[in-house]
Amino acid sequence: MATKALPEGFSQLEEFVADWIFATEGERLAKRISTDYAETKRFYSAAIEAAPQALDLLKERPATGEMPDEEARLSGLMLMLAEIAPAVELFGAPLEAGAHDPRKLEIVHEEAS
Amino acid sequence: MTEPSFHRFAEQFTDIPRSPLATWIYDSDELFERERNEIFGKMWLCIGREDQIPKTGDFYVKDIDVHKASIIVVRDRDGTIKAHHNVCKHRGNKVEWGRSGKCRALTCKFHGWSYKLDGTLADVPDEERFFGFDKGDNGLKRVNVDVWRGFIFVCLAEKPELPLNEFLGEFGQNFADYPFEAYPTCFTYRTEFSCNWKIVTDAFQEAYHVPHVHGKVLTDYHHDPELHLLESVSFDKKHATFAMPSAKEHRATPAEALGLQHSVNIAAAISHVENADENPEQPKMWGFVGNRVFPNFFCDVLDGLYFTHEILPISKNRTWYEHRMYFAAPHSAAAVYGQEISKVMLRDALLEDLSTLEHTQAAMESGVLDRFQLQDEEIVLRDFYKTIGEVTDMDCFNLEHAKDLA
Repeated sequence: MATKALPEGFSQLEEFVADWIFATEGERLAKRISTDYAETKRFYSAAIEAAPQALDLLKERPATGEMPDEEARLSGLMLMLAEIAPAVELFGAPLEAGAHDPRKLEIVHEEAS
Repeated sequence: MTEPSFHRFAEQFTDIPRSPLATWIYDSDELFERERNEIFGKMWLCIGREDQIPKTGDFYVKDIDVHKASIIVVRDRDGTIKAHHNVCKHRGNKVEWGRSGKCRALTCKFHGWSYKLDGTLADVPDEERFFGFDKGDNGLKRVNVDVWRGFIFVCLAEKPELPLNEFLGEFGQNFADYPFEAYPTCFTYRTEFSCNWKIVTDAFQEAYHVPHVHGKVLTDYHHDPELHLLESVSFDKKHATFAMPSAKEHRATPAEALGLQHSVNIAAAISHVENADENPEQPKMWGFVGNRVFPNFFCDVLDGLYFTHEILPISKNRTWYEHRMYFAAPHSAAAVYGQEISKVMLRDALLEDLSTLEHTQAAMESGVLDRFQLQDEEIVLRDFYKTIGEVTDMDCFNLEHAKDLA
């Protein structure tokens, strides 16, 4: 059996580890925009179901991200859930029709000085 | 009991025009030139926060394009903030080329002239070969700078008409005890728009738009048809403060509700104030209070977060814009999730605000409309144009002026 990438109890999210974890908001936004919406909904369904248990675990971990690799990946998936949640819960599409294009915003807080 | 008036703010502020706003103001070279001189050349402008440069030698460069000004904002050795024109006193080269960084001295790369953080000229290569030269007369040209509650303001005039605290007036007094320092986690978005700077300011001075343009993200305004009506408005100097009422309950989405167990967001911050009123022992609570700090800065404060809009003209129909959101430092990895979803939802709501700007500019340039009709709830906007008119000596409500231009 392959080594698990996530902590015990999150096997339903294992299949998303390879393609849904990013270090920055800009990368997560790009993933939200470029992914087929049906696939995003599939990720949302798995992630929102696992989220209460995941956040129970993460509330005991520091905000700095210093934690075992398995838990850091779980945290990464939760941040991706945060990025795509409005798409699924509010817009029914990757972006809201008619809204300003987020790709025109420079995400300054992620730039090295 | 008398019926509440539909014109309650007009009755309260009788000197603010009710007549339509003229639309030539968004496409007038003459008005823009007066704004450039009388507003951006003379008034205090908020250009950031002290915590962007926490340590000695930390600096950032701020451009005020409309005056072709490049300003170095730096933390001096004595802990104070200094601002210098980014222009070497020798032959005018730019001293700092980066946007931000850390330095021990400010050194021009052209001929190696080197300045202390306070701007005094410290070292000139081959100094003895100059003629009647005094280093003491050749420091970087200072820009007036002052700090209010961590916010850095500069003024490009030789001498500001008022000291900063007098310029800020009641806003400065009323918000002095807001805990800005409690929200050090800052997210910053920057962009430019092809529109007049005033069209960007218009987007953030009324709540009439909230149930409509934010219909998808801020859903509480659907459930309570009066929630967007302002609770109170006040004006002092050229600034404005407007408070929005608290929602009785906030209906969070599933992903948002999980985040709210660990962090705060805008909708929850608006709605939980109601509960706080039941306990007078608690510290002062803030619902949603918008502040227009004339001319181009908005500081919108809530319980648990605040955000700002900074708007600078580049030209008559080109505008620089920066949005900053400030949150508490997250106390756990779960709170990081809560903050992320707050940030993403606020960002997506901002994208709704920004959706109208360039359409409006194009329409103004097409000449289809000669006026905007503004209602009672748009009182802060009407006051803005009354103020612009006073400062520039051009009446923004004068529909006839368009004919003079044609």
